Amino acid sequence: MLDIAFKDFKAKKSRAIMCIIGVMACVLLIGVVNIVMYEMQSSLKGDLGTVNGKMFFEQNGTGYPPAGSIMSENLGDEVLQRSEVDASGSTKALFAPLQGGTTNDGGTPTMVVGLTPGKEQVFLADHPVEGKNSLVGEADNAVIMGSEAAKTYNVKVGDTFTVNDDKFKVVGIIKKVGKGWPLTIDNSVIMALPYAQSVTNRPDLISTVIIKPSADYSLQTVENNLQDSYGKYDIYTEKDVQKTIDNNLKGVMVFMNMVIAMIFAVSMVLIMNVMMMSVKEKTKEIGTMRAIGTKKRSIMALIIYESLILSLIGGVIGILLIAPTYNVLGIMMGSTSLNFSIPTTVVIQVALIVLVIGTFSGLIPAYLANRISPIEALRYE
Amino acid sequence: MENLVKGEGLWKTYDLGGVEINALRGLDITVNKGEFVSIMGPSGSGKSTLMNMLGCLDNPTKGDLYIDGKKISLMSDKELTKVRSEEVGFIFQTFNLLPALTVRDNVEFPLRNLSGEKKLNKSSRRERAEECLKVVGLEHRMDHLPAKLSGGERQRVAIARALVNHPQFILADEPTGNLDSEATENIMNLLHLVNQQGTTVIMVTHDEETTKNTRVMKIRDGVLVEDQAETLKETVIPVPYPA
Repeated sequence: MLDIAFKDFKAKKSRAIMCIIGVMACVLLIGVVNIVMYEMQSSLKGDLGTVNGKMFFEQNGTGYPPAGSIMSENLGDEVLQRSEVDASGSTKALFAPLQGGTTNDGGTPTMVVGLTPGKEQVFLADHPVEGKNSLVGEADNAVIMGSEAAKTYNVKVGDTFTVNDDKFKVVGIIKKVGKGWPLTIDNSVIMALPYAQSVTNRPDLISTVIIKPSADYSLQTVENNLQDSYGKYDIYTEKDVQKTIDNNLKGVMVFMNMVIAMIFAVSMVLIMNVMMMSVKEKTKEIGTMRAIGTKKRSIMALIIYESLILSLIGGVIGILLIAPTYNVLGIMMGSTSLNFSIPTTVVIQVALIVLVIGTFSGLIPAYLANRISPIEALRYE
Repeated sequence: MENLVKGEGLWKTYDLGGVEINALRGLDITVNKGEFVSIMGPSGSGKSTLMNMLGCLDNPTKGDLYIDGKKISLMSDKELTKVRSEEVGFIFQTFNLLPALTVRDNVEFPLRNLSGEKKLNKSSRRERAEECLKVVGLEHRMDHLPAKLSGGERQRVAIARALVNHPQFILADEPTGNLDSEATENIMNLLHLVNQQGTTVIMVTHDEETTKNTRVMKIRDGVLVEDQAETLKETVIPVPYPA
């Protein structure tokens, strides 16, 4: 029956094409919304993943990155000297947007990350770096750039660039960490804390203390002790990561899923409508087929195959167009890169949605076709 | 002669919004294998109802109907579908070809419905469809769509389709009702040829001309009022139709 369904499809080209365009548009929308969700999730999870195993001592309600938090450097030193803190694996840090700098493709400003030289690994973790991964022994204005920041300023290792009369010498570039949208680390310019304070005009100030707890203390004890001692400050831990993800994504995800559900319903109705029309038009043909001995299940299969053909063709074209559309949308929003490819998970999700649309939107018309009495159908004009 | 169709006391009652209409009122019918039967009657006489029953599309409300010894009146929809696919060849007044399929595919279509031992593979189906199209003289139109054919040609395709599954009998519902006189003559010649080759033909018609050399049954008000069983006489074999 599949070959008959194809021939029927070819015989009703214009209607089929209109339906395919509709399905394609729906699939495209579902795909793009899915990618936006995927990117948001991976970006947020990736960014917050850098908190893994560490604690951020910062001002209340700052979250990550703690660019909005300000405290004195002396307070940072005091925290670092506490017995609960492993000073060798902890550092004072200043996070601040690079004022007057260029924003990246997504419009995110480059982030100055000032660290005590020799403590870069506290922030960098094990992410590979091209060039040097430490500022020790380098010039005062030496910087390690995130991949996106390097792209934004079009620099490579060894180059020097200037922002607001401040010169920066690139000694290392971190390989891209974020799989989706760039993470904070990808947009960072890591430099020595004094130079960061000078560049951002925040003398003797820091944003946070990145803490590695001492081996003698559990995370919870360190958190409780610090919280007791410094009530005005917040201890941002792994526990808060999930909370932040939930808070940031919950509403958006509900909205996005509703959008997907609505598009899904529209495409179902679209194909169902076309298939209903097709069944109506085919009443006499169905009657003839039944009269000459075609089984009811073959008639059902014919209608479902037609529905699947429409949704699969529309779906495949839609999936192929997701990446170019996403790129075009990016360009319209100021991006200059055209290198986005669709994550496999999104392709699988959309392909499954297409299959479900194709099968289920054909079910009701197929059921109706099955109920057609051959005697009535043969009389139908 | 051996009975192919035997109907005893066939009743068909329709309930039209509380009003009962008797389309057949205890009709008795017997058709022997190899006969060419013409069923005539005015509109509303029950011809179509009888045809639907003979074609296993409908069951009688009362009475027994046997086709080739099988009691049709007790069969389920699934069993009736199987009988239709194996035993009956349909020819309709409006041809009822599937418009999206080529002539060859239309003729091949009933063979897709065969199951079990009778099931054929694609090449055998194709071969048999082409043989039937040769019989009706349309081998040169195999790859055309029905829309490109004349009325007479379409009906010849319908005859080929009816023959392709080697049915016990052909049911033709006013097969020449939409044709001009030349095409009518061709189609009737063809039906007689098919009949002479051993296939029973049961035809509903309004046209007396087409009933020549057939056993005419007349129906009125749901009962058989005339059965010219002796009408079938020795005749000259019709000339082959033009290719």
